[in-house]
This record gives sequence, C-alpha cells and structure tokens, in this order.
Amino acid sequence: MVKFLFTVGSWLLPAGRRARWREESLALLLEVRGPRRWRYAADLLIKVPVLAWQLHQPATRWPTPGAALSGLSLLLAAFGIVSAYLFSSLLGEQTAEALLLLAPLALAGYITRHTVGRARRRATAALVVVFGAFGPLVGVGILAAGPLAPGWLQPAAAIAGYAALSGPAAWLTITSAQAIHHRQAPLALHGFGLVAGSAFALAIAWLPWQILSNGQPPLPVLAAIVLALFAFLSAFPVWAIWTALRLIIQSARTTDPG
Amino acid sequence: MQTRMVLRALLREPDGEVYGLQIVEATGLPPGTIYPILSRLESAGWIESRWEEADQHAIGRPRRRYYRFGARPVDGAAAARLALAEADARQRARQRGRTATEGALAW
Repeated sequence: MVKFLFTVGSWLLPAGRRARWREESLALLLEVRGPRRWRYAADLLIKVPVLAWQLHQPATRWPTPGAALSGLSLLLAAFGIVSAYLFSSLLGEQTAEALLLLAPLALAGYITRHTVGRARRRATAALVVVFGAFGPLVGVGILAAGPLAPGWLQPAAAIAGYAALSGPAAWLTITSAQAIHHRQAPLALHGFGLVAGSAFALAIAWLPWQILSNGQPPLPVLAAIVLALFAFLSAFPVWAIWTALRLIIQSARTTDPG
Repeated sequence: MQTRMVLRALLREPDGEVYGLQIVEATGLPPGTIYPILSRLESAGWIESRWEEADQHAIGRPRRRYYRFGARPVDGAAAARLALAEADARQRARQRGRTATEGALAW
C-alpha cells in the first residue's frame, strides 16, 4: 500500500528522480517504527509537490550581480595596471604612476565582498575595508593633506599616506599567505596573489624614503624595486584575471540555495 | 531557517557522510522538508550524494543515500560556513535593532 502511494506520488517528479526519491524515502521509513513511520510517510507524500516544483525549476546560469561586479572590477584593475605599464609613454609618466597606484582601488568590491561575513568582529571588518579596499583613496587623501601639516608632521604623513596606498597589496599578501597556509585550492592562484601583493608593497615602500631623503636609492635597492615591479606586473594580471573568471563562472554555476 | 538547520547538521561532520534519517534526527525537521533542501543544496553544487555500496541482503536493510559537502565546483563546507556566518550576523543586527527600538520606546 505504502509502496503504491509512493509510486503514485513519484509521478509528480521528473522521470530521472522518481526511482531515487522512492528508494530513499522507503529506506528512511523502514528505519523508523510505529506512528513515526506513518507520520513521516504522510509528510513525504504531502511535500512531494515542493520537491517536484523545485526539480522542475531551470537552474540559474547567470552570475549574481555582486559577483559579476566584483569580477569585472578585478578585470578592470588588471587592465588599468597593464595599460599603465604598456602605454606609459602615451599616458605620460605622472598619469601612468597615478594609474598604477590607484588601479588597485578596483579591488575594493572584491575585498569588501571577501571580508564582510568572514571577519569575526565588525570593527576588524570595517578596518580591513577602509585600509584594504579603500587604502588608495585614504592614501591619496593623506598625501594631499600632507603639505598642509606642520613641517615636523610631514614625514609621518608621507609614510602614513604610502602605507595606506599599499593597503590592497597588504591585504592580498596576507589573504594569499593564509590561503597557502591552509592549503586552499588552487595553490597556484594564491601563489600569484602572494607574489603580486608582496611585490607591490615592496615597490611602494621606497616612495616615502625617496621623498624624505630627496635622492635616488642605492643601486641594490633600485635593482630590488625594478625586480619587484616586474614581479608585480607579471603576477597581478594573472591573479586578477584568474580570480575574476573564477568568481564569475562559479557564481554562474551556483544558485544560492539559501 | 530550515536550510541553516540542515547546513549546521551537515557541518557537524564536514568531512564525513550523513544520510537522510541522521539529518532528520539532528535537525528535528520532518523528512519531507529535508529532501527539497538537500536537493537544492545538491543542485547548487554545495553537497554531493551517493548510494551506499553494500549488499542489501547482507546488511538486512535497504541501501542508504549518503550526503557530504562537495569540493567542486564550490567548496561546500566553506560556502556553508560563510552563509551561516552571514545569516547569524544579519540576525544579530536585527536583534540589536529591535533591542534599541524597545529601549527607545521604553524611554
């Protein structure tokens, strides 16, 4: 009798899922006894239209707007940084430098998305978002206000400004190192992130020194800066494009089951 | 809410496998509620399932269908933890808002 009812109930489901639902439901019923078995049988039969409705829904294949925007902004960051390097003669040195320093701002959406919900404390999340995501803006603000400060405060303002500019790089270094430490796949992606983040932070670290000492760095330091810039320009576009595609494709494959 | 209960039940053994009745008992939800949720999680790629590989006559009962968090295309356990953390944060924010409103009304 119960088998017959479940056979009839399963007709509501797509053909490919009928046998599975029948077998799984009957197996569950056989593992319980007494009134509970009848209660569960009734519940399974009453709610089969819910399962049927769900299984007949077409799967969503579009990325969620948040993921799509974060992914596109990462692509924009990669494009901005590659353009700053390739077209520096066309753009002019100052524009190219500004583009190089401000392009990481395009990571803001991704960093915010990555941070919110993972940070255990709201204050930590806010701090990471302000300095990690919007660090370039904060840095430019501090550097612009620097000359207005008293003379003795100007070196500190320069250091704070450039430290804030390297916020996204510091964030990328730390999160990539954590991902590698926890052996999160794909390791190569986090490797690129670690190289890009640390190289950018290193390349930016000499800027306040240059301003404060008002001179060229020694040759070994200069060589390290050039190497760091080369590492950043090679690794960052790979990390950004890979992460962006992953974000968009995974989001498109996955409907939020919540 | 019910999806969260199922995710929490699955997260008790993030690397292990559980079958329908175990989730029913862990959550207190009836099976008719559990299976649509499991199906939704499975079609989203958060979990995967397989039939028990055992001789039904030898074990003396029908085979079970086991569920576990998947690793591809989505790291199901990580996605579940993140979703639960976000849901808890939203709930805490709502509670704080409610407490603040009640406090203001009391004054």
